[in-house]
Order: sequence, then structure tokens, then C-alpha cells
Amino acid sequence: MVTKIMAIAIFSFFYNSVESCSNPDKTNQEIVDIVETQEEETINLNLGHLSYRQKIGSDKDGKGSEFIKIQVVDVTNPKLHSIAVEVFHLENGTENILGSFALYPSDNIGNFLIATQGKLNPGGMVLLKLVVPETTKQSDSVNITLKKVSFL
Amino acid sequence: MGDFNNEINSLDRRVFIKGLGLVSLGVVSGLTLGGCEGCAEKIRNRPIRRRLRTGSPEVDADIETYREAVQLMKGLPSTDSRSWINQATIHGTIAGGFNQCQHGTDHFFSWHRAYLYFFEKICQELTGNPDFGLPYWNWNQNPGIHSAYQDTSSALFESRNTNDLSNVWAVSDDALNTIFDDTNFFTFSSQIEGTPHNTVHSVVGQTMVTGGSPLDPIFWNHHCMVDYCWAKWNIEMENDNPNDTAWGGTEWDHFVDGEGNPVTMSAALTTVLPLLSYQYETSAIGDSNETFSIASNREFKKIEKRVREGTNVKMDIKQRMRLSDRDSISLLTPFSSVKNISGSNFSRILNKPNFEENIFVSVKYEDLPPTNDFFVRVYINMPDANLASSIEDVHFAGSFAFFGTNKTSNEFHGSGHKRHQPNFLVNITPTLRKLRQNQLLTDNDSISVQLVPVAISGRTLSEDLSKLILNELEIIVTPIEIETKQ
Repeated sequence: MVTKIMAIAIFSFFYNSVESCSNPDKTNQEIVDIVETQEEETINLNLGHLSYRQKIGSDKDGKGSEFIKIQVVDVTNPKLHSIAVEVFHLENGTENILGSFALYPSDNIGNFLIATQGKLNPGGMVLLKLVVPETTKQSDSVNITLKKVSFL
Repeated sequence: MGDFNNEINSLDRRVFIKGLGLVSLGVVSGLTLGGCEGCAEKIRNRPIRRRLRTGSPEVDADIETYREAVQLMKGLPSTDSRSWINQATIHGTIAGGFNQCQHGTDHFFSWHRAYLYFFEKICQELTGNPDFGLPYWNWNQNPGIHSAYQDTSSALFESRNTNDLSNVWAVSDDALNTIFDDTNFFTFSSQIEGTPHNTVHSVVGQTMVTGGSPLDPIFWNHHCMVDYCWAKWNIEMENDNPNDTAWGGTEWDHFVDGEGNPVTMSAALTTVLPLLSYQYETSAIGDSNETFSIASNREFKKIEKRVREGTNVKMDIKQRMRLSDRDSISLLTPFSSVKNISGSNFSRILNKPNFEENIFVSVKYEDLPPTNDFFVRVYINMPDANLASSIEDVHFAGSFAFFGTNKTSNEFHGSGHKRHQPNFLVNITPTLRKLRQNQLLTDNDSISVQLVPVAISGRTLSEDLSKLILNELEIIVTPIEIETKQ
């Protein structure tokens, strides 16, 4: 079940709304919404929900894993906006980038590997951020559906 | 140089007849590096693919040749398979997505290498410049698109979202150092594809973000860089390609040569192209510097041998279950494993639709028949499977092909060399899932494997040359995703 961290979500919603009203043609990188998910669920990242984080539960997933595997199972992007996803390790409020990937073509699904570089610690989180570098309109539809990330 | 290319192509055909994978590469190297001085000279002087940059007269000349080639290809009629649009359509189209190209598979590197190789041949033929080497866009060292591609009056121009990738993390030293630290071919390939390759397509945008991206001339320089990443990782940094025959034996026949004639290329042959048919001017990628050079024939042969042989890419095998030991099989009689394995061994994988592990049938042969060309269909739990069995049948899992290995080809593996034993993998996970969905496989049922040899179309399997020595038949479980030949 998806649960939201309310304070951030509310802030994001407010920020998003204000931005949308004042500037319908905007870049989206500032907007951050954080959700967590349970196993078997899919996660949607879009212009309103730009990020997702997942706890690193065990040492096997942490120091024991070589790769983070991200499965993009569905994409809506009729205007073929450039889409990338940045992957971070989040611990004690500090984000360290581990890698990034992009969709090609920009409406194509795929499986992606990001090397952990041995940097994952149990108790930390994996943070995914959707990046749409082009200017988009409020009416633009950009959505990617991911499976819960797995550790290899 | 044209003769050499013809020779390589004719070698390819001979190789195709004599055997696939490592056997074929043995034939290539034996003929080209052994007794053929003329060939050796041509190999030494093979075209150079230089790094796109300003301030180099050689690169300026390469760009001018490339511009001329693109202009000529754009002027060819639609009936000519070498035309700009026809070449792009092999890959895909703007509106329709991908056609023949390999993305998200283990042949991302090899297919695009073959694609570039024949494209370069067309450029050489049309411009009358057999020494032309396609320049590569090293987006790590030169993140800006060369000004020649931004001139709106040039054939190299195409509308793009940006010409500058300076602030793109995916092509930074940090991003690429991590990826180049990976010594596993499959995961290295996957990361190069997903991170710098996809990102450059995406950020450059417009035509480049579609399946029809080869319509933008910068596509070819971008993919030349992707190819250089593979070559640097493999040749300069001494990491090894897979030696799996199913991987190496995969081949494509939708390319044309410089004159527009259909050609065939196998993945195994692509591994030696940077050593035999073209060469890269070395340059830095991240912390991997540009000091590489091959100083002597001896060193060249040593590298060629390593590249040719590849390696057993580490596979983390979670389970291994033997179905059959050494056995003599008649090509005219389908084989069915006697020993069965309980389906309950795999229920943890099959019960979850997206479990991370895959189940493979692994087939190792001790010996192959000397002349017959055939492939083998793999069925699961179909004891009466035979030549008449349909590949549409729910029990069909896949097939692998090999071609009669002329005994003389074993010379390349004899006298002190470990003899090559073909090993094939077929992913049976989807078939097992389908059988379960159709109530044809439960945890209480056992799993058996059937191998049905089938002659290549138009040929027959002859009785007198029909012995096939099976060395080992196993089911293995691994988290590695391998796109096996189907």
C-alpha cells in the first residue's frame, strides 16, 4: 500500500499548485514528492510525483548487492519528452548519486541496472527522481510506471 | 582494401558453413593472421575511426568524407537498399519505433557493431574512399556536438534539442568510471545502454529520441562511441566477451554491403572487427586514459587470441540439476531425458510472475556431426515430440542452431588447445509458466526435456553422419538474464 509522507506531500502539492498557476510552462525538477511502497506494488512517477524512495531492509540488499535493478513497465509520453531517472542512495538526509538512466525511445519500457558501488547501507534508502529536462506544459502527460526496485 | 573486405565477407560465408562461434573465429584468425601476408598488411592499415574534434586535419577530412557520404545516400532512390532512409529503417522509424535493432538484449553491442560496420562500407563505396573510418563522438571528452553537424546548410544537420551535453551526468567521468569498473560483459553492456547511450539519445532529442534516430547523422557517431566503449573495455582494458556459442552464433542477415548486396554477420564475428577491419584512435573515457597502442605483431596476436576466445562470464548458478549424462544421440531420433525433475523445485520462481531468477536448459555436446547443418528444438514434458511437432505448441521452449563442424576446424583447437565443447542455453521459464497456466504442470509433476534435431530448410539429415554425442544435459537456475537464441 502506498503511504505518503504527509508534510512533504502537502508542501509539494502546494508548491506544485502555486507553480502551476503562476507558470504553466515550467520545468519540473524542483517538485519533490516522496512516496514509499510495499512489495508487489507498482509506482508511478509523473510531473506531479517526481520521486520515489525505498528502504534498504537487509544487509543482503545493502552491502551485499552489486546492482539496483529498476524495471520500467509502462510509459505514457505522447510528446516524447526526454525522460531520465536519477538514482541516489539516501542516508541521514544526504543524497549520493549512484547513477542514472534514460528511456529510449522516450516512450519505451525497459530494465535498467545501476551499480551500487558498495555504497548501500541497511537503514538507508534508494531514491529515484524523474527528470524531464525539457519545458513541459501543465497539460502534458508524462508518466512512468515502475516496479519496486530490486537488489542483485 | 576492397579485396580485403570481400575476403572477410567470403571468410564469413565459409565460416558460416564450417561452424559458428569460436570455431568460426578460429577459421578467420587462422586464415587472416597466418599464411596471408597481404591480408596482414591490410589489417595493419585498416581504416582508423578517429575521435571527433576540432583542430585535426585528419578528422576534418573524415568529417568531409562523411558529409559527402550522407549527401550521396540521401540522394539514392528508394529502391536502393543503401539509401539514407532504407539504412535508418533497418533500425526503426520515427513513427513506428524499432525494427531490427537490438535494445535491452545481450546483442545491443554486437548488433549495432554490425550495423555500423556495413554502414561504413557503404560510405567507403559511395565516396570511393576505402580508407574512410567513421569518426566517433566521445561525449565524455567532447560533450558538444561538432560544429559541422550544426551547419543548417550541411547534410549533417538535423534539428536537435541541444548540441551541448556538458552538464549531463550520464556522460561524466563519475558515471562512466563506475560502469567501466564492471568486468561482466552482460551487466557492462546493460549499463552502457541504459545510462550514456539512452541518455544521449534522449537529451539530443527530436529525431534522436525515436526509433528512426539513424536519420540524424550524429546517430552514427554516437553509436560509434558506444562501439568504442565496448572496444576499449574489451581490447584496451582487457575484459572478456562471452564465449557462449548461443550468443556468438546469433546472426543477422538484414544488412547490405557497400554495393547493396545482402550479407550475413554473426555476433561472434563482430568481436574481432575492431582488430581485423577497422581500428579506433584511442582516447580517454573517464579515468581510463588514451595511452593504448599495439606495439608489435606478437602483441596483436596475443590480443586477438584473447578477444577471439572470450571467457565464461560468471554466472551465479543457484541450482543445478542434471537430467542426463554422456549419451549418444541419433540425429534422426528425438531425445527425451530419462531422469525427471520435480516441478516443485521451481515453484518459488514460477509462482511469482516477476521472480528475479530464470530457469535454463543447458545442453553440452562432446562432439558434433561433421557435415550436417541443423538446429535443435527444445520441448518440455512432451515425450512424443518429433519433427512434426509444432513450434506453436505450448511445450515448445526454443531452439538453438549449429552447423556441421568440418573436422579440419578442430585443428584450431587441437595440439595443446582445449577442444571446444559447444554449450547451449535455452530459457524455459516462460514455457514452464505457460504449462502451469494451462494446468499442464503442477508441483507434483516432473519435468522432462526433449531435444528434436531438425535439418536446416532444404537439407536432409543423413543416417551415416548422424551421431551426436551429448555430454551433459542440465537444468540450471540463475539470476542472470540471458537472451538466448530462440
